[in-house]
Amino acid sequence: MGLLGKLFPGSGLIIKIATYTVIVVVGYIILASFFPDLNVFKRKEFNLKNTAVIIEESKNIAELFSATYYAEVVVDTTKVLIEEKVDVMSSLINLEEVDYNDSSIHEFVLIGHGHSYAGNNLQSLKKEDITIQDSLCIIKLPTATVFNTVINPSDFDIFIDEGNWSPEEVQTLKQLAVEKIKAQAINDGLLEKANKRTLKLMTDFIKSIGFKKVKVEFI
Amino acid sequence: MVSSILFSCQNKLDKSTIESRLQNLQDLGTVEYTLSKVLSIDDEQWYTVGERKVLMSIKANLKAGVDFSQLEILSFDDKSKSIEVKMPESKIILLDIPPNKVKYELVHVDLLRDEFTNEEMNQIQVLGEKAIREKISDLGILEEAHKNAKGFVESWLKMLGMKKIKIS
Repeated sequence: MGLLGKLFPGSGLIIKIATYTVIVVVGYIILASFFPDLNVFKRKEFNLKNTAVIIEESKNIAELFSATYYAEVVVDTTKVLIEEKVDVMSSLINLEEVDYNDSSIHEFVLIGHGHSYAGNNLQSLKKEDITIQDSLCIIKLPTATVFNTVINPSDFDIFIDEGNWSPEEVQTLKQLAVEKIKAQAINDGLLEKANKRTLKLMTDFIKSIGFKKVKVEFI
Repeated sequence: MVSSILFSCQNKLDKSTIESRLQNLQDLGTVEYTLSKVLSIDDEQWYTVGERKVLMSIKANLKAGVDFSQLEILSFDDKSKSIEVKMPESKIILLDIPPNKVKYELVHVDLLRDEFTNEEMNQIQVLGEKAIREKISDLGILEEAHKNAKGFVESWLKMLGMKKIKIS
C-alpha cells in the first residue's frame, strides 16, 4: 500500500476508477476524432422543413443566349462603428455624465463565382424586321444585352467575417458581387462577343434554308 | 450606452478579379419562371437549451429553352418553300437566385443559444437552392420550353418565307 493508501484508506479504489475513467474518455475522444459519427455532441445538419416550390409567374420569352462570362470576384468591405459611451469612473468623480467615442473596425471578405449571360432578345422580332430580296435576306435584330448575372448561394464563400455583420448587410454585399461581375463582363466585351456570335448563328441558319446572302443589322 | 452610430462602408470594388473567361453560348431561351420557396429551419440539438429558428423566403428566376445550334434541318425544298426541322431536347439554361430576393422573415434565437452566423445563413440558402433544383423536373418546365420553342421556330420560319413547316 502506498503513502496515499496509508493516509487515505480506500483511496486505491478511487484512483483505479479515475484511471479507468480517464482511459475510457481519452479512448472515446480519439475514436470520435477518427469516426465523427460516434461523437454524441456532433451537430445535427440543418434540415429544411418540407415547403412547396411555388410558381409565382411564368412567361414566354425568345432570348438567344449567345455569350457567357465567368468570373470569380472578391468583395472586401470594412466598416467603422463609432459608439458614444459613458465613462463611468470619470462620471462618478465629476458627478456628471462624461462621454467618450469608442470605435471598432469590422471586416468582411466575400468571394463569389458566377456567370453573366448575354444575347439578343428576339421576342420583339416582327415581319418588318426581315427583308427578302431573291436570295438576299436582311434581318434587323436588337443589339445584345445582359440577360442575367448569376451568383447563387452555393457560389459564395465567406472568407473573413470579423465583427458585427447582419444577414441583411451580407445580402447587400452579395448583390454587390453580382453587380461587379456584370460590370466586368460588359467591360471585357461580353456584349460585342454576343453580337458576333449571334451574327454567325443567324447567318449559318438562314443560309441553311436557301439564302445565299445574309445581312444582319443590330438596332 | 449607444447614443449614436457612425456607419461607414468602404467597398474595394477595384480589387482584382481572381479569374475570368468569355465563352460562346447558343441557347434559345423560351420560358422564364419566377419561383419562390420558404426556408424554415429549427436548429435543435439534444444538448441545447432554448430555441434557434430562422424563416426566410427566396425567389428564383429560371430560364429554359433549347440548344439553337442543334436545330437540324431534315429536308428543305426551295420551290415549294417547305421545310422539316428537328427540334433538340429542351434544357434548363439557368437558375438565378438573386441575393436581393432573399428575405429574412423571422430570426428567433433564445438567450442560451448562439446567433446564426453568416456562414450558417448561407448554408441554409444553399439547402434552399438544392431543394428548388430537385423540384424543377416536377414543374413541367421543360415540356413548356419545348412547346414554346416549336412555336417560336415555326413563326420565325414563316417570317423567312417558308410555307410548309414540319417540326419533329
